[in-house]
Amino acid sequence: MIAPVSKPLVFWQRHYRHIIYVLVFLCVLLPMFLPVKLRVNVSPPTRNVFNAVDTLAAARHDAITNLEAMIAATTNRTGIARLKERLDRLRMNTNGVLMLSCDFAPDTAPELEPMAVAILRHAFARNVRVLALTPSTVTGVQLAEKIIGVAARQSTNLYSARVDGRDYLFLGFRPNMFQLLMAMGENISHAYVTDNAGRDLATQPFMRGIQNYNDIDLIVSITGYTGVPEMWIQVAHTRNKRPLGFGFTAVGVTDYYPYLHSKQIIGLLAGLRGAAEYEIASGLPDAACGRMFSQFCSHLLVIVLVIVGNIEFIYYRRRTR
Amino acid sequence: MKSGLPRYICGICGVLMLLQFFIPAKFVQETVVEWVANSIMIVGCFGLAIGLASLIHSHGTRIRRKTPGWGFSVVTLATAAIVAFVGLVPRSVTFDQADKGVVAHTVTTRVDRIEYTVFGYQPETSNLVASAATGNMPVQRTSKPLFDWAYNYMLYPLGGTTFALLAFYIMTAAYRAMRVKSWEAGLLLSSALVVLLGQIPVEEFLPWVRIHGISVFERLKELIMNFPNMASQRGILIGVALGALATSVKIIAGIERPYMGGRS
Amino acid sequence: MIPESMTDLMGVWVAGFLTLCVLSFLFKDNVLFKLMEALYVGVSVGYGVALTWHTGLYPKVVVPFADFVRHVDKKQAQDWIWAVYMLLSIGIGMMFLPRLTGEKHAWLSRFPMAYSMGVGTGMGLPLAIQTFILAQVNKALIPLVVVVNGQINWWASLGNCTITLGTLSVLYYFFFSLKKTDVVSRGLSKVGIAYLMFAFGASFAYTIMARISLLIGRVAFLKDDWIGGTLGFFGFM
Repeated sequence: MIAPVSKPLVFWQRHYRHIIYVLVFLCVLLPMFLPVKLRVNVSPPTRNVFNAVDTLAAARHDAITNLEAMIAATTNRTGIARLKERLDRLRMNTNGVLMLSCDFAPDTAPELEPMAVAILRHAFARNVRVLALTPSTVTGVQLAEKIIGVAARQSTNLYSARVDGRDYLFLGFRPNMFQLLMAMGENISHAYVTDNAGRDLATQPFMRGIQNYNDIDLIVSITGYTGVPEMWIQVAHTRNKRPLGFGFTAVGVTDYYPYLHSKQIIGLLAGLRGAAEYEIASGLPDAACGRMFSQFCSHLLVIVLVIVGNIEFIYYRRRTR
Repeated sequence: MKSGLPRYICGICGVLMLLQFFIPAKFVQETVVEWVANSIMIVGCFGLAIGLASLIHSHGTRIRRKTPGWGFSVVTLATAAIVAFVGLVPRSVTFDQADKGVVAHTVTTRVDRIEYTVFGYQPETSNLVASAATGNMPVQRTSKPLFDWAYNYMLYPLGGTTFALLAFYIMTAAYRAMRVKSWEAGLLLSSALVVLLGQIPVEEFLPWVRIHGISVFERLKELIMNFPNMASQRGILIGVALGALATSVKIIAGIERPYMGGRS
Repeated sequence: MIPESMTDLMGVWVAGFLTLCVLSFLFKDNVLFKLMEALYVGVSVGYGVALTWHTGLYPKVVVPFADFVRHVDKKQAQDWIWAVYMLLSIGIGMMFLPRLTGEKHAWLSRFPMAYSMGVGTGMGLPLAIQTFILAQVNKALIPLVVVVNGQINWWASLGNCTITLGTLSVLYYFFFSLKKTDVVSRGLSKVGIAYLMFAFGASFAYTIMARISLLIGRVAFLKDDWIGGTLGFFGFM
């Protein structure tokens, strides 16, 4: 490269890194002082997850109706007994059961925590029972516990706050995620044995209506780790035919569009924008919406930097010719 | 026996697990699968011990030989030992107690009691003592052991900030690397710019980019994501899956033996 | 968020200090950053060890066996088979431990690894074929001309053609062992590259959003919890 001629250019070339760092920091910090809450349009993948959580009671009602019809049509005595057992379990949670897998740790929490809180608040508002777990990462257990506790305490309705053991249960972490998911396909209580608080699942009233995936109406996994959604799709969707939704960090979300197209997953929340869309859809703009203005300014900075970089590139290419 | 037996174990276990997929019997699909899955979980727990031993060994060697930066190894091992110790030892000593008194909520009243302890791992979910049925005020007893403190105020900020550094680097990368040097780079750049503009609500500040309520960039972004991106990712996915299938068959057949540790 | 007690306030200040030490790496690698790295590794390992006991070994090994021993007189044949199998699993798992003693007995760790790999591969193979190959190929084979109520839907047909061309050209591009010398082969590879560039551009844009989100989280902590929380704790806000 030919040496630049002007002093500002020399200064820029020597210190552009630090100037960009300062600009990035300001683009993130300064918008936080301005009370601007940007509205984002809810994209179809996010809308699908929202609608699925919103209609869990209807899904449970359909499942009960279908099972009753199946029982009426079955003549095999053993088959009828098993179906009736399942019907009794389904009738224990008529508002539906959501399994929320919080597969994230502090490194991806700023993106995924708002998603988890938004989904939990929506589920609690619909009186859906929530079975939460953290099967993939041990460092996410306390984070998930805190999120669920906060969402439960915020979700007061006319009668009471959401109570652990009655409205939700947090199972925590167990090693070897794929084997754990496979074991949960048979019996969740046998796979986990105790919940995160150390209580025996076999004696928990919450688990009387939940034996395995067949008693769960929707599974939503919120994660930033590649490989985790693939395990969920293999076990929960391919093997057990349960509807599956994901929240993923924006880094890897482009990889999961084929599953969306093939309807192996019903919907996909993409990073902080996905969290903001979910908050808008549920009518409770919160942390994610508040951070979108910082995102907006940072994105504009990136675009400006790319344009400036290309102008510089074209300028120097012309000078060398 | 050292090299032959593991190969047979891998092959036999692999074939048995393949066969279970095709046997719909209740005992196989429920009981056997659950047992095997639990068994692998137990074996996996012991595997974690090896990782820990490797860490202790490498840092211990650095301390013993007093290589440059051995002080940091002391910090690593000491911190690991302290955090593990306070987490594993059962809760006993309480060194602070703060009674917050009555906290009024919408319809319920509740007493918040926070207890700080040195030892123990106390999941928060075990602490709510709801006694609404008896008419007493429910007590939210929040136990905050040092273990929790280390997670919330050390692990969480360190983990979050380490990854937050990447934001700065990606901005400098955008400036330095996103140059239109060829038609491929031009395509990549134009796709990136469209998606960047589609991610942010530009229409809040520039209403003229709206088409039927949605910004034109957002529509273009959805087109890019649902068509060329989706097709490319599917091609990559199928290719990778075929490769993984071939590797899995080779592992079960004993042609590839990654469990041998580099020796066949 | 305002800290609830002095202990929490101290914690917030420690977290703030750690955050700034890590951010100091932006200007230069320094002793404080190296110390933070060491601290991070140490806390992660200690946390992992404690939680592996509380969430792995204790509920999966100690609790079931304690229950088995407590009610051993009521156990049936299937329960005894389960107990023997789990004891075998513990024995297989313990075969990892000789690695710690040195090279002489490290070969014993091949058995648990071979067992885990065999079981994992066998268990996952049929599901992987169904999920990643069959389902995706099924959805890749879509009609190139979409007819709805006797009329061609041009938009849907164009979309399907785009998807099919993209999938096939990308798969073709990754066939590096094929010699692509003629015009059609090279053209199809170029089409594949074009599709990949669209995907990577989108991926880059999303990556920027992801990284910025992480930074927003930390800056929000510094503003709201560290400074705002401290001022609120002492009643200035």
